[in-house]
Amino acid sequence: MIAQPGKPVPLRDPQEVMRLARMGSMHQSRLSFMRVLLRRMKAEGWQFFRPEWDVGKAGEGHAVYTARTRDRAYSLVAFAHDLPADQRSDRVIATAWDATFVLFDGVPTPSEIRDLRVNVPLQEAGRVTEKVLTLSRANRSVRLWDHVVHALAQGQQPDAALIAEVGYLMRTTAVYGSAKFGAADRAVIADRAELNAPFQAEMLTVYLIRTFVMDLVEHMARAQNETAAKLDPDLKRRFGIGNSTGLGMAPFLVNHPKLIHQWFAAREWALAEVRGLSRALDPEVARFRDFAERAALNASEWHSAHPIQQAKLVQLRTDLALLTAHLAAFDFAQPRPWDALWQWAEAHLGLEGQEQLASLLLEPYGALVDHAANTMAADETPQPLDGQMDVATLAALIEQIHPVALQTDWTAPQARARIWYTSAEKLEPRLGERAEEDLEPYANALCPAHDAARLYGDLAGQSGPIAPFLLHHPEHRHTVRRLQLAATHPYAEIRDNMTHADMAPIDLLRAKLSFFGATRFDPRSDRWLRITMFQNAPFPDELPHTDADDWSYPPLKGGAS
Amino acid sequence: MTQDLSLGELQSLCAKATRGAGRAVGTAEDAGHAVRWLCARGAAGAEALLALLRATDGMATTALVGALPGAVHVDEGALCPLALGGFLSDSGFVPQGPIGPVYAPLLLRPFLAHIPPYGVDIMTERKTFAPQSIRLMRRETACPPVHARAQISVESLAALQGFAARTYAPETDQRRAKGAGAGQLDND
Repeated sequence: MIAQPGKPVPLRDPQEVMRLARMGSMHQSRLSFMRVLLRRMKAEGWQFFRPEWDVGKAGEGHAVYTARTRDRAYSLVAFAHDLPADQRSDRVIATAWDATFVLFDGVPTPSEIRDLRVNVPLQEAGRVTEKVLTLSRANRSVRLWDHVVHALAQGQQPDAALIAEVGYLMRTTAVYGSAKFGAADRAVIADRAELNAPFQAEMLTVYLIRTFVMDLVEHMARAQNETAAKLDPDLKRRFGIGNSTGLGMAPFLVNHPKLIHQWFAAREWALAEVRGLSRALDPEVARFRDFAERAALNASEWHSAHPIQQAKLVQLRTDLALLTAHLAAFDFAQPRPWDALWQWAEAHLGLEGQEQLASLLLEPYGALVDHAANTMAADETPQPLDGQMDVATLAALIEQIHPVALQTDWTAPQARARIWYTSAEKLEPRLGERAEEDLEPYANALCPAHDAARLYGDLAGQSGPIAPFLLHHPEHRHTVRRLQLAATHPYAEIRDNMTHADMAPIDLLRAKLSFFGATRFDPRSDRWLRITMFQNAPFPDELPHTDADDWSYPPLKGGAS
Repeated sequence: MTQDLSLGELQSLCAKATRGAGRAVGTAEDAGHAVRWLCARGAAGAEALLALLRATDGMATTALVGALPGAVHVDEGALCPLALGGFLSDSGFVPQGPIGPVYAPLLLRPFLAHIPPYGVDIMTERKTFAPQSIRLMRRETACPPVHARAQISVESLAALQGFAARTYAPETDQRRAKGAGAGQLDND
């Protein structure tokens, strides 16, 4: 690529980017955490071993999978269980699963495995030590599981169409990291280069779970018939690991403003960099065209049973058809061609198409943008609040960050129809209807926009530094902290009403999961969805001889996968 | 008997416990960070917070801030270290003379850790969490974190969990059914 003369393209306005409708239309990109991990594993030549396999014919037992970097080792310790169907639930409140896991910091000794066996199958009801980096569990996709076991036991390969329809044999229903239930704090691992980028431990966990699941399904086929077939490698790669995500993840984006800013800022920076390029070279254009075609294929293969997603898919397919037609006649020789393309998209495509294009524009430019992944972590230790800030300055800050909140009628029933709370049962985050029951005493502060509007109202008539005001109005303390952070971290704050009657938590989930690298979002309601992770990605033994970063879009028919 | 905890989960628990005792969200956030800061330096942060919450459970803000900001000394009652610490931190103000009485004054240290050069020590007459008059003295040496985990007595842990539990809505069939998504059975 060629360095750009002329003025840099500004990053998009957070008022535009940090809106739920757009966040709920995001797609994975080069900066997604799964892709960051795979690029690193290949570039650094990670070695993978399976030091233990002790699973019986009934599918019960344990296994250990170890990933070795140059200096360290990380091990997935997997426990397989024989779960009765009437206990299989994806809810946080479930108490038993088909498989339970930890990612262990190192290689566990037999004694450590014994201790893990006592606690890990209990998940939230157990405790783990600082040697544990993540704690997770998974359930089978029963229909596909039975089909694959049966087919392999007959010496046959499973049906590709059914694999395409489901996409996974097991789905994780929670992956806990960062200090939960006794696991190691982020501080323990943050200085390790391989774990510095966000959620790398969690992504490594799921990547290794995928290998375990494939081993387990072949094992269960052999348990039925010693001469059972093994999966064809091309078919095997089409299995990802599913994930069932609900409200447990939704508060994250609100509760980690500094971290969220880093994620969105990196992505927006990358987009602005590409838009700012003065010229596009032929190989870059060719690569872009290829990915645009694959994105259109992805949209056509992507199905959902839910009306919300069906409507979004219609928009996405329409947008990509428009993009395809536009690309056919587009002049890439013009100056700043990517920016011209982007501006056309802003004028002619919906949010789905725009955000898909934002991801596509990064694909040819790994050398330019991939390093931005190193900026996506955050030290979330709070800065001291600036109590010398003047009331007038604070009010102006609210006007700048939350103009929409200030124009909202917060007394209207629609505006405050929802209430976020935590249930006593397994501390499951929930979203209730305010009018239906009295949950007010348990309300979690998950609507910064409303809190900002309330603060603004209480600032009227006040003057001078805010420290004395806060002393007597501690209920505004968290809001002032957020606002002062947002002043220097523009993408920290979501500019929408989180308690609105029509607010869809899946918009929050999709934003976060797109940063994970998920594809094929499959909402089942407005507050939970299924996704597939690492689908089509190379397995550990394939990394040395396979492109580690070409799996996020389906291959074009007749092309290499 | 003690329980080993990660610093993160102790912080989260203490923030919820503080909220459960009726304190504001931002105050609860401060409490979580304060306990974490203290435990990382081997100080009895969780126990200090527990003593504070027990002593001030449900008290209104006005009862916890004495004559602040006008005066740091109060004749009746005592000052909450979370409220006082927040105010001193916000203002960048380190009073020279006697302060308080202050409940569990240990909790003040984290709020003033950023005062140059190395934060402050709390000078007290007695080693107790009960309210007492204190003085602040700027530290001459750094006080870096030394612990990556927290050890807390099972009794203290249970007590903090008790406060935190006040923030959870009791389960009902309707809430269980409608509140979260996914099914009771997921056999697809």
